[in-house]
Amino acid sequence: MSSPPSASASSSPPPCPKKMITLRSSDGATFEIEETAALQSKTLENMIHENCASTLIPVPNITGEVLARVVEFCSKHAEAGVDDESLGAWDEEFVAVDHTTLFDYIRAANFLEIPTLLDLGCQTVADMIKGKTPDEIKKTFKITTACTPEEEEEVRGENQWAFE
Amino acid sequence: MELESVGDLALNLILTKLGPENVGRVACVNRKLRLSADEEALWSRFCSEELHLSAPLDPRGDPLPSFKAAYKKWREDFRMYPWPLVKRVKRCWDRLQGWLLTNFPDAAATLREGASEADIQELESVLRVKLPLPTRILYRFHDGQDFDESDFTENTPGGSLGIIGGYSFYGYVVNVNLLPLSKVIMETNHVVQHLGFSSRSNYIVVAASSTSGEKLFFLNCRDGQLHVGTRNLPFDGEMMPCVPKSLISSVHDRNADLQQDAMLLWLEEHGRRLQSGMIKLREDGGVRSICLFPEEPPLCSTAITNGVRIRSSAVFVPEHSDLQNEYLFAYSIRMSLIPEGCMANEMPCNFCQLYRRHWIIRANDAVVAHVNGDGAIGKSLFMRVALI
Repeated sequence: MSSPPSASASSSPPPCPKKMITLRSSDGATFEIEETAALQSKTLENMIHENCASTLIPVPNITGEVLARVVEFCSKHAEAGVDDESLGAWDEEFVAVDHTTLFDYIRAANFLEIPTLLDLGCQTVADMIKGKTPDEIKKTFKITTACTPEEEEEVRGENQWAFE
Repeated sequence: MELESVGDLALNLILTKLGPENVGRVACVNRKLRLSADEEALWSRFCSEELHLSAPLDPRGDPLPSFKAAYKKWREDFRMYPWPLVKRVKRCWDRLQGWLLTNFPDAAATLREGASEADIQELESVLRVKLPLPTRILYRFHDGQDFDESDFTENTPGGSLGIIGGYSFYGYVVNVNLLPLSKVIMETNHVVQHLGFSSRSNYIVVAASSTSGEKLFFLNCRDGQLHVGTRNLPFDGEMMPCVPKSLISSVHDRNADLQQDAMLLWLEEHGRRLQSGMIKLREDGGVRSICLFPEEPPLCSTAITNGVRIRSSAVFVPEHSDLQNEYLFAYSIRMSLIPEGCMANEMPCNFCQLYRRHWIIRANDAVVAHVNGDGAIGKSLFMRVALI
């Protein structure tokens, strides 16, 4: 679950002040993030290299609430000297949220191309699905769009082996 | 917000992490999820990971239109068995068959197609036994070996294509093959009649050396152990176990975590030895066969003295041993000249001839025999450095 802090090209020598990037969410809120943490996101990495002058990056697809948490995630994963076990525990708490929020994290991780967050989010959803019947899955995720009885019978027949 | 809203990439990642059974269930939730769950890329990956299939083939090796259809066929055809055990048996056969196809295609060609459930049930009803689970699945993949007339020649009266292989010494030749169910029935009935095995109706004959007919392998269907007949077999049915008993477990229990019987363990070990080169193909008088004399350390020792390389190993011969009195081993000594040649009278030389030899044979550090004399088995080996 943990990833080593991505080595930035500069490998910032300690005495220099850490470069801060500001992100602006879809609803206008701003968040500061260290450059090293921002590099966890491939999308941000590309944008940083393109807009070398400005340090304000708009992130139009993500609301402030979600962006704040994503910034928290990247900062935590960019921290030096955190052992795997405590990072794992931190990750577990991070994803202990309702499934709507979880999907928000996944969408954000997808848009910003943060592999660690995407993997964590998807694994969490997979764990929520494992071992459940289709009805239980529907209930867990409050899925309402269903199939016609004929469709249901057809697909059930195709996948009968998965129930044995 | 629906689950599908996470996007196709994330959905695919979630499904990959779920594995085939759970994906099959997700497909039944709604239309969108069914579409994502039916993606070929997903099933291609499952087929590759679980069955090492790079093309959508059914258990008979016939092509199917999609990986999803292929995976489904495999699960349905083997639905009566614990899936992890099916995968394990497939890996065992893949390894054996892989080695044979590369190194001994004539023998690979003798492997029969899998038996059907009906074939297995027939054997069980005729012989009144219940096959252990791993053995049943082994037969579902390949129903023993088939030979035709041309496999038995003057040089190979008993055949040389047994996939278990054997050894030969002083004109005594052993080559063990796996019997198809039809022969299992025949041989078992024959043995039961002739050796009065009525009290041991749990035993079936699964492998035999067709040369002398002296080496027979019996599977005990009740406890899953494999035995080989000793020289007292014709008199009192004496046999020896082939696999450590502690490894055998849950052979009839579909719900156990791990089922392994001696037949599976034996074939797995055999596959490992072939693949590692511990045992190899040998050619003798133009005939190739799998030879059970070990070729690699620690079971084979090598020493080079003055350019002459000697390799020696031994093989246990249970069918000529008996449990009370003595165990018989056969040894194989191979001599060759290394490419650099040897030194004779301080001159380099690229040939040499064996004049005399003296073997000191030890068992557990105690000397049990000396073999001393001219040549070896009456011949004086002439060795020359091979010209490449």
